[in-house]
Amino acid sequence: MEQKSVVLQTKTIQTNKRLKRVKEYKQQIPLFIMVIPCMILTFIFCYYPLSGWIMAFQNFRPAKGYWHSKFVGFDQFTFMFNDPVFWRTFKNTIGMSIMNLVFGFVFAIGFALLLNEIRSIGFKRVVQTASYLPHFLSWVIVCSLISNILSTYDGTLNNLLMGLGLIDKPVLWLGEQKYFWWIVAFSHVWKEVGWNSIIYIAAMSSIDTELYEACEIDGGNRYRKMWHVTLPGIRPTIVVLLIMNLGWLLNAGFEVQYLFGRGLVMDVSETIDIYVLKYGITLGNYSLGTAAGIFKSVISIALVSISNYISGKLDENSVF
Amino acid sequence: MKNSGLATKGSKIESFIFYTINTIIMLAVIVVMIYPFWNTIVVSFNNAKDTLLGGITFFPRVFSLYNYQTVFKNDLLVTGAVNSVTRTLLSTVLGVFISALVGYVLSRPEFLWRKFVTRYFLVTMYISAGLIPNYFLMKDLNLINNYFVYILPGLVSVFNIIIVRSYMQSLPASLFEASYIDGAGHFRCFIQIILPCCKPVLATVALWCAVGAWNSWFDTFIYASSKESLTTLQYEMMKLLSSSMNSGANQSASSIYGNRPVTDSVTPVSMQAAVTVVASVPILLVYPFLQKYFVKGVTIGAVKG
Amino acid sequence: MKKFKKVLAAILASSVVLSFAACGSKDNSSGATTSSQTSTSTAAATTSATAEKDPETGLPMMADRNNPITFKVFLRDPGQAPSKDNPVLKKITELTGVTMEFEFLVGDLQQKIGVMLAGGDYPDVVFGEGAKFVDAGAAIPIEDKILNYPNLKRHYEKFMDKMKAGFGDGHAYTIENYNAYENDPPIFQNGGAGFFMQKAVIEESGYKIPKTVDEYFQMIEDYKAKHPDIDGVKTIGFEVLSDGWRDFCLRNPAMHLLGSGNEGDVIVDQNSFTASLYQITDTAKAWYKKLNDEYHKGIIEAETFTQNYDQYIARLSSGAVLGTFDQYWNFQKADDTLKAAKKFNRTYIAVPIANPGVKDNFIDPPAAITGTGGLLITKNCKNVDRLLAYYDYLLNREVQDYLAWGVEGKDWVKVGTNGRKLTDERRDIMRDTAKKREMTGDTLWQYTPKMQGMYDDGTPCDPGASKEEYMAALSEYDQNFLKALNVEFPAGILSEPVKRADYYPVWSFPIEDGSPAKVANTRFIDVCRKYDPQLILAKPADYDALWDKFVKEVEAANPQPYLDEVNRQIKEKMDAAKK
Repeated sequence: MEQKSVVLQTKTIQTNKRLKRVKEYKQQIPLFIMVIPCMILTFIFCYYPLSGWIMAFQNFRPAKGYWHSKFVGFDQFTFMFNDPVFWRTFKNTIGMSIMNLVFGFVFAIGFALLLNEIRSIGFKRVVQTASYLPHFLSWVIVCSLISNILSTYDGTLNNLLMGLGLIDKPVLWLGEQKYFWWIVAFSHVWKEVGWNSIIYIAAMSSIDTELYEACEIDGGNRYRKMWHVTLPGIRPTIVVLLIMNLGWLLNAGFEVQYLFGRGLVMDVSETIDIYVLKYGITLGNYSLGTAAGIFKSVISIALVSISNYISGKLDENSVF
Repeated sequence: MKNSGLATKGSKIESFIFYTINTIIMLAVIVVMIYPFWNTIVVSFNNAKDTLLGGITFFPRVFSLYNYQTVFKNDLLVTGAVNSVTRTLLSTVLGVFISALVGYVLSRPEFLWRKFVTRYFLVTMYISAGLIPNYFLMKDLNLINNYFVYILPGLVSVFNIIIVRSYMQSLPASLFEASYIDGAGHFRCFIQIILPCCKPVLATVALWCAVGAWNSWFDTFIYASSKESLTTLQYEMMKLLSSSMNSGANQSASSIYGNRPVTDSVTPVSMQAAVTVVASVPILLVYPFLQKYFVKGVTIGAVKG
Repeated sequence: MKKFKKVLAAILASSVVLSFAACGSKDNSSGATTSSQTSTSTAAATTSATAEKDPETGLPMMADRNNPITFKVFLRDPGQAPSKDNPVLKKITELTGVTMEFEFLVGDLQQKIGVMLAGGDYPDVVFGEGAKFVDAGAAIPIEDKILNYPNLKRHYEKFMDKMKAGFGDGHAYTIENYNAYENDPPIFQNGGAGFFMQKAVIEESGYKIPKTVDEYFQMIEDYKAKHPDIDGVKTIGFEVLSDGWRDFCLRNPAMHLLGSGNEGDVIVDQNSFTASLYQITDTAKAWYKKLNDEYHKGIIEAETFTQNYDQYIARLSSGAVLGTFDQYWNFQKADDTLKAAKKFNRTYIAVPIANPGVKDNFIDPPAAITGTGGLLITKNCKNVDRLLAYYDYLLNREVQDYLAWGVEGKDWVKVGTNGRKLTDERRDIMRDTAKKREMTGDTLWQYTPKMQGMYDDGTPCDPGASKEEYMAALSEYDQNFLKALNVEFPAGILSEPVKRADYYPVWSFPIEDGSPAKVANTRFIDVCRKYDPQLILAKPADYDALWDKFVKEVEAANPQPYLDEVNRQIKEKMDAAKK
């Protein structure tokens, strides 16, 4: 009897659980309806074409297609991983990415904070609009302006430093390896700081005004308000952006590096993308490009997972 | 009393200093940020040959409208502009809606597949099949030389979804609870409660979608370049630009004797400037329009009230 | 209704065959083979020119002109297609029924070609990267086909061996639309690579022409010492452009100093026909040492290694640069700006610099078709015969005149018996790219088979080959300058062009993508890119050590696979030519 009732009990619990589960799913039908079509779209446009990754193990020729190109196993990867030039570009990519990331974040957040303190709405709008203008200029234009400013031949920066007596002869800024990463980082800051700050400004606008009032009542001054209200208010945005951007650590771009890249700075200027461009695309070697892409994807996903894990430990709620 | 008076006085002085310094910084930002754009406008209005000599900074040296005449003397400009505007509108409206929709679902803690779906989307940000597999895909889907190649592939933007989602997560939970108590379903909650609260982030996403759609030319180049009726403004601009780079020095025609002096009034530098202005001014006008959604605290307060 | 159409078509076809026979009487044999060969060739006959003439222009008309067809042509050059109301192109379409739709390159060539080949979506005709299309089996062999058309046959038969040797499989795939000369044109000036010097420097030295690197720099130094400023700008002695793919200015001089033609990344011994690297020769060592000296003397600014192309052009356009090593077309913009500013003494002339005892060898003789360039007809072509008939039609002399020169009296005038020059209005149009595109048939002329050089009677095929036109376009300063130098044309101070070997030039060789040869090529060129500027900027005492390091790095980059591949192709082409 007892046994029976136990069995019966567990059964009811199980059915109850199942029922509950079914009920839960039923309740969430609208959510599934909302998300499944988008998942299908994503599958079609992102996952399905990944079958093309097979190219990485071939000596792919566009004319021959997947079916008739020769399989070469891991040759493309071996070529890449055994090539000291590849690892040099790897180092450059990581270096420039980290600098871009750090400066990009610090300047965008700092700028958003300062902008937030402006009381005149008109002035604020003017500053904000002005700040995002450079985003719409192509790198060709921006690099050309920067290289004019850095010129040893009547360039603004050299003139300024000479005028101040800080240097006694013009510095060839773009020809010295030690300056290169800095120039790239600050070019990015110049071009993108306003654009990148938009999201923080949007996030700040959602901070509850009551929190500021409360802080004021507690005797908090402006800096305390920034530190204790504004920054925590945009922290989720910062964390999410940071984690997502960490995944792109291997994408330092190639345009600036390409436009500023000269023989003199070649050792520090070339990124993985330029490497792929040089040994892959321009030589028509799509397989190498694909192999590099796979390598980047693996690293990216690992980076995102790790940073997400860490942020979960620190923040007690991981992002993904 | 005395103390607090001092404090107020002190904070007033401090406040004054802060605002002065901040204003100076912001003025400097304006100058530094406007300069490249201003310089581009100046170059676009300067005689192309004169620009070659360099040294154009704040004002045109030899004023000329010829660069713009060249830009506007294009049969396909109107077609391109129409396509660019429609694709921008469509991509923005659909893109914002989808980001909000998926963002909403992923922000619901009770959603059963939350972790899986989030990761399912997230991974796509870091993988790319590459040019040729994507071309095969578009071909299979019959999207080559098809207008929808401008809309469909970029419809689901994971980056935007995540941004919207984390914004929604930061909204007070009471908002949602209130709506459920009212007996509202997910659809009603999403449309009536959540969307209005998300104006700032949706405005941001709209800006990203619009600028992205407006600026893209690569899809025209790869998927639709052989059909003139599908051209876009940016593609026409790229054409102009690359043709100006070629003028005078035709690589193929660099025969021994064919070096007539060229008196062209167009050069790549000037063309680049005019093209940049023509291509970016329409989209720049979008921003001030969206800015009003960034005003501090309005939305949440309103809903709460 | 359907029946009626068929009958009509038959009538049309037969009548056209008749008219073809009539007009093709000059070359009966080819007409005969056409109709006897295959059914498609008969179709070809239907599209050739009739005896009818257009009343307005006097040009012949094609029988198929009322049956419109559009051919799409992809061009590897960036550019802009002429608008649909270009009068000349409209006329040709009216007379032939054929519309050519040109798609110029906009983005990256390799990406575009990649998806074209992968998807099989190529147009009727492709100009550029022929080897890739041949490799993909996307090209149609044309060696037999073009012989069926009288004008094409007459024009291309003499080049056929070279055309068949181009792709290594014995077939010709490309119809070369450049440099297939009727008779060699006169050479007026060096339009390619060379050591260029400002005319004022030569003028000041009493019209002395430098022959060696030392003389060249001595003259520049002397001039700079005397004129530290030019028009208020600090004088720059010598520029070394190092921007992107244009850094051949940095890498190539040693090749020319050794007396080689413009081969590319190697020099080829003209006796044994083996390729070697000039980048690590003693000549190169001496050249960079010289530049090193000049840098330390202040003749070269370090800036030159970081400036971009636009800045380089700006420097040259200012008139303050005394010398540069470059290809003329690469800085022609600057030269033209100086001309427009009437600073004729600041424009440039190529001087015959070479190692002592070596003859300079800058100018290629005309008629150097490569066998791999030109128009390639793809498998997707809607109607190969109609296309070839159209090309054949364009090669009619009247049509060529109409495209290249325009209308007599309005666009050009006769000078003497066979000389011609443009009218002033037409010359202005030809000098402005936009006007040229919209008002003349230039685009069509450029990208279709054409007559170049001189006709048998001594008439120049196009304005570019006309001596009278060259002289008419020359400024008074230049005319006097040439008189003082005692030469007829600027090219007169350079050595006469030497006949090139059959493989020439190496840069036109198709090297398989992703092959060890191509990788090796990229590798050692990168080493040069990196070290050449360092050598110039090095402390004189460190020079030799740095040079040794450079040579070691080049060797470590293993250029051998590239050299082997080049040698293999040289041999292949030389053997093919012997047969």
